[in-house]
Amino acid sequence: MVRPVRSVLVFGSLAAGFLALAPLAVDPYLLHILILVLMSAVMALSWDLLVRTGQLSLAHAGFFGLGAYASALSCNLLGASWWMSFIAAGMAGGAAALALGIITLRLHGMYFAIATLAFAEVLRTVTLQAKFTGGAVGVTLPAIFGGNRVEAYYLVAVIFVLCLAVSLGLQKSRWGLAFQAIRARQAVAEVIGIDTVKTKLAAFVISSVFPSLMGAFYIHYVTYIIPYEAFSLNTSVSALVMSVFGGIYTTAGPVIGAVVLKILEEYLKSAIVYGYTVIYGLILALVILFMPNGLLGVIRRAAGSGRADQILRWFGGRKRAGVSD
Amino acid sequence: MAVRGQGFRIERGEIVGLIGPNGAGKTTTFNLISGLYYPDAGTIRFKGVDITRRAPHVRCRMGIGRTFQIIQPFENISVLQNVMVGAIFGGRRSGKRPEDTAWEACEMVGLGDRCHSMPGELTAAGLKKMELARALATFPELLLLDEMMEGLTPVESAEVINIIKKVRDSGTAVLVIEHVMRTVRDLSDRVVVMHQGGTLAEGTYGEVVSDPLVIAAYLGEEGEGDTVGHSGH
Repeated sequence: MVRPVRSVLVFGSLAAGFLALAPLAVDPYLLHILILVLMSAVMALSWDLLVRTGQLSLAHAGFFGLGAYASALSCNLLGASWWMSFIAAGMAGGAAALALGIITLRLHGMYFAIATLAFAEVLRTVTLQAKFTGGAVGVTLPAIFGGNRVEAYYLVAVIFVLCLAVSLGLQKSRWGLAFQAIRARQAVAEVIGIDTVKTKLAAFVISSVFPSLMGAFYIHYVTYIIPYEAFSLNTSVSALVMSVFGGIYTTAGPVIGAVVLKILEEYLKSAIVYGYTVIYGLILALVILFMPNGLLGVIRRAAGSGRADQILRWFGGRKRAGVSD
Repeated sequence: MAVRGQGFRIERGEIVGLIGPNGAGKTTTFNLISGLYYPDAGTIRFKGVDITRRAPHVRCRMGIGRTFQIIQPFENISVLQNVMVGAIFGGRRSGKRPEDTAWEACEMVGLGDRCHSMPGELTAAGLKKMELARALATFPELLLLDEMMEGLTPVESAEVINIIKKVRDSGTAVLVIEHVMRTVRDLSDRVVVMHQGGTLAEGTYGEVVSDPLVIAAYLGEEGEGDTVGHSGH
């Protein structure tokens, strides 16, 4: 375990202070953006947890939708309270990941990605066709906390901090080392005693609980969801893009990527109503072409070896984390 | 201790050279023993236990270690950390601290002073030694070495041969694949010759090289003098 130096503690306290006090300082619209940013950060960071073992998943949308529906249906059909429905969502996501992982984690690269893509598509089709899910009409819920946005913000902030803690904890433990070894050289990892199946399965389950929680949060926050939105491929792709944009295999990278891209997206949406995706896509393409290590790589280079570097290093932001890629 | 399969055994404290022409199945044998491949038929026993269906990491923790023909370092962590990965995951049953195990393994292969280097700063010989140390850090009772001497100078080879003999003398069974016959002669206590996936001959170096069957198998392929079989990947 790397002991945090003073600059890290100072930065951490400032960031925590900002998270805690932000709702007092911003208007409801900005608070809404902040909630979306934190949601994106959880989606990107949890997606990154799995890719650290070398597995590229497109199942995030599937878990997001699964969480949304598990939560909504346990409230509507079983009369669960919001927090019970969140637990149900997390457990449904974890159990689905375990089952899916046992079947698909022997697949590599493209094959695994396609299998996970199919998972989301199957769930969407089932949700569209089934009676108890409401079909194409979708599901509605009363707004969480009676529509109190500040309380909703604190809920998503708590989940974000939890995700951050899990990511840092994994990165600094033996699990992180095992992830890197599997990603870099799977055959070597196996013959030096790493249980690659169990490790990847654990990573997949942990990585899938968070999008399920985000799905539960989303339906409670916007009060309404349809299958096309719940299981949209866009959800998986944006988690991937934000991680790559910010800096893959790190804790800091996906968070930075989510903050920058979500704010950019919302700004472009309001500034260029028609065709903002063109500009958004162009910026993405340029960044990925010219910054192979993501935004984090650029920040690291600019930060040199000073205090900022210490902070980034501790938050899992090495230029190229860990082993070889 | 025994490895059965194509029908040969290896005992604690001996070095067995595994030789044979290209495609004879030497590396496949390693993959079968270390568990990267599962056999379609037959059994593999280790210390009397049937391990045919055990996963590679289980076999590693039981005491089977190996290196690869093509070096496979973890490039972005130091030499010591590379070795420590082996100690952390494969060397648990020793009860020692992984740091200590890694240091000892590095010392054993003569990399004590290069511990804090990055793999990219090592020579080919240094990288081979690092991979050997990483395997040693898992406390193998059976060590499989796939072409350790490939690309090394004769001086470096002689040094690595001495290291391997030290490993053997500590009570480990060592199975080596080598294609330079002089290395096989200097290193092996016993030699197993493979041909077309089976065992063709077995015995001391002197016995197998004068075996008419072995000579026929090699002459049929290339007959290059001091190099037999396997000259590339």
